Amino acid sequence: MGQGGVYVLGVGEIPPSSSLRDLDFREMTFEAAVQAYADADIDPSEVEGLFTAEQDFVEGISIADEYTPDQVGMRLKFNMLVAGDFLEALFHAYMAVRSGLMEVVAVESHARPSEIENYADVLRASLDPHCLRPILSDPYAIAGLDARAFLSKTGSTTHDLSLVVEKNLRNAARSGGPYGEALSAEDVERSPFLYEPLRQKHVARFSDYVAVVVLGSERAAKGSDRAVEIASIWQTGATSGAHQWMRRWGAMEWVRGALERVGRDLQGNPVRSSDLVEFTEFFAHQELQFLSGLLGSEAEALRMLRSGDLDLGSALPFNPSGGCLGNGNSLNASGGRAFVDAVRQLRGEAGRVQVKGAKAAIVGSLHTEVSDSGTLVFLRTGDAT
Amino acid sequence: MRRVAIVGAGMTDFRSMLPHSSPEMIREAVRRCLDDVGSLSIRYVDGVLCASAPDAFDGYHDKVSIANEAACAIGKPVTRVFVGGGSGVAAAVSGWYHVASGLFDTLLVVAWEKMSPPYPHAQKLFQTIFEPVVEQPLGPNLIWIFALEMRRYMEAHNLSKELIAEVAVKNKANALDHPHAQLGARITVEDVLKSEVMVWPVNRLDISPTSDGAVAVLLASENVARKLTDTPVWIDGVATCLDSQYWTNRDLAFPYYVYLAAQKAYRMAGITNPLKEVDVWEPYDPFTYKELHHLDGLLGRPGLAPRLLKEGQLHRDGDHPASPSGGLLGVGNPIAAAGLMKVAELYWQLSERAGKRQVPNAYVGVAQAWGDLMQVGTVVVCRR
Repeated sequence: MGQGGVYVLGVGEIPPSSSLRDLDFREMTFEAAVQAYADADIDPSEVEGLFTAEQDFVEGISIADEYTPDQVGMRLKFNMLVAGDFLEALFHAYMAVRSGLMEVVAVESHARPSEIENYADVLRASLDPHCLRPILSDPYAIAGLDARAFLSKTGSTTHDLSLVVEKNLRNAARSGGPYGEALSAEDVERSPFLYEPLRQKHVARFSDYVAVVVLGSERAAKGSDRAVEIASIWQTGATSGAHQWMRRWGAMEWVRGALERVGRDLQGNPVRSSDLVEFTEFFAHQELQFLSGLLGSEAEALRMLRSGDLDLGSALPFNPSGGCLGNGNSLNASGGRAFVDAVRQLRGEAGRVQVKGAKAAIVGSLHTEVSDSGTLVFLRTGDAT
Repeated sequence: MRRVAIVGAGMTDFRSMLPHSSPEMIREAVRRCLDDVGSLSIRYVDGVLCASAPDAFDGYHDKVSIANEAACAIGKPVTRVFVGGGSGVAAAVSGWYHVASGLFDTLLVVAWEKMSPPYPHAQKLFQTIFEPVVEQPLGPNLIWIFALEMRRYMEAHNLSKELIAEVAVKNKANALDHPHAQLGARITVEDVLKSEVMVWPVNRLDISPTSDGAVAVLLASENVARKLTDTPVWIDGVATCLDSQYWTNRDLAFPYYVYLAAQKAYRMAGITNPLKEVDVWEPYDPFTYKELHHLDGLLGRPGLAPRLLKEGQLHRDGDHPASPSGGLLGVGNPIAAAGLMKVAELYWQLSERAGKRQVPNAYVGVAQAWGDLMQVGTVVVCRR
């Protein structure tokens, strides 16, 4: 028992919205769980454990895992809270299934940024209290510094960042993302600076969201013609601690480490095998940083962007869902949104943003908006039928 | 299943107002743990798993960043888990599946808590764990709800305060032999009964202290473990179980969630009669009655633990030694670190390195922690 394949049996979500005022977080997670269990064609009693991605200060309550099991049918079962993005909880769930500890588990994450009045203060509390908090009233300034370093290092311009926004908002307009719109790069560049060189439109707006995903072992996936395999997953930590002194600005070094590991698992190049990429770009430059990490070349990433090779219908559609720029920043649930969108692509259920013949996808997420650590997943259509 | 071993452990002193920051505590625990494995270089550690909760104690949002450098995790996989007071043992459970999955050959598990800085007392921050609409406006604190549970437990099994106080006497005496203990002491039952009543029936000496401290253990796959040490201690059973948030809706006399977690861990470890097969117990004892309450859950027999205590069987030289480390009542209670301290104690006991605390002929041990709103049980079964 153990160390076999791990499969996505079902997904459920409350689609991203600028505000879900009519739903309590319990109601949101209940609705998403019901969908996920129905999608997996299982009874909740068959699910053995729950992994949640939550953060105390975001929930507004300490030891937030107390409040999750009831509404997803997980009372008196295995529970583990992973303090990070959804994909980090997925990483834990994947290992738990692969180890043989459990056959079927659920992964959940929810976010209600519309109810957080002082999110900048919350995020600021993740920084060193002596050196950074006093000088950074808005921690998104870190993203501005990182964007500046990226532009300087690569010789790219804010127009390149605006092209990312143009593409993602266009995709979101097709996928139904809450912030989708037809906007040219020139329109984007008319928006005011927020964290120079980042303009207002380069920054993802917030959205409320919840995702519940059911994972199962090879045995549990047997007979399913819709199961998607998690062929590999890896998480890599940051280059620096809370003070950011050692941070390597302008690049996502974690991508290289994670990609190497995923490549070793697959015995091949994950990027060449992928039909699409979904990534949580909270700021426009992060999409280019992530792609640069995947390709091992910033110049190639920029070339692909400028030549339209990241658009829908092109060589490597990047964020066909619209990403975070088009769907919103759902905090620690953002990776869940990207993951669910990628699963739907591989099942051929992505509607107007369907990538034709999609059989494999890379999904990536950042630990938080301003951290330089993250998780990489390689998904492919299941062969466990 | 791939076998997973504990191959090293290290910890800081547990103290109130320990003059170390959280990163300093983490670094010291990690250094001691790696020193315990023949000064192993951190380069040979594949990843780091952290446990600490709640965030409010450190005053940090997303406090994994505190451990990033201190635990030498830069560029390695590093995540953080927590389930309240159950976090320390939950970290061992999570560490187990990291290695058992085949993704990691070595994993450093680090737990810490810094409870001293909140002013005037950590108890104020504990109010933020309660349900915000109905419970928080009542201004509850943990001692209130544990007093309710203790009262119910005493009622269910007709227990006297005198008998329960013996847990504090035993554990604080055991802690005298623990080099990192905060509250080792020779006290009497009378001392406990005469100590200040906090919320009846809980007296001050029924309660573990607020503490600062960190613990680290190194886990390894079977192949690697045998290269690193001659005395690996195998984690053969793991489980967690979380009950409903609605703690007011269940009978507090028996921790059913601990029972369920234990049963799963026993099944995995091939244990059919825990009373006969387990040689050393490290149940979670933040309050005197909790050691007995949890042992009842671990043994699956309500009311048995108080009888064993009465017969002297829970003492270090008894047939069923419980908390030979000194437990949270004696060693201290830096929440997540306290749970992992219990796992470390099993490592020292089962590898026969517990010094004066050594339980003779210890081959199988169980560590357990508990937390959230009297809601979660986390259990590991270890074997020599």
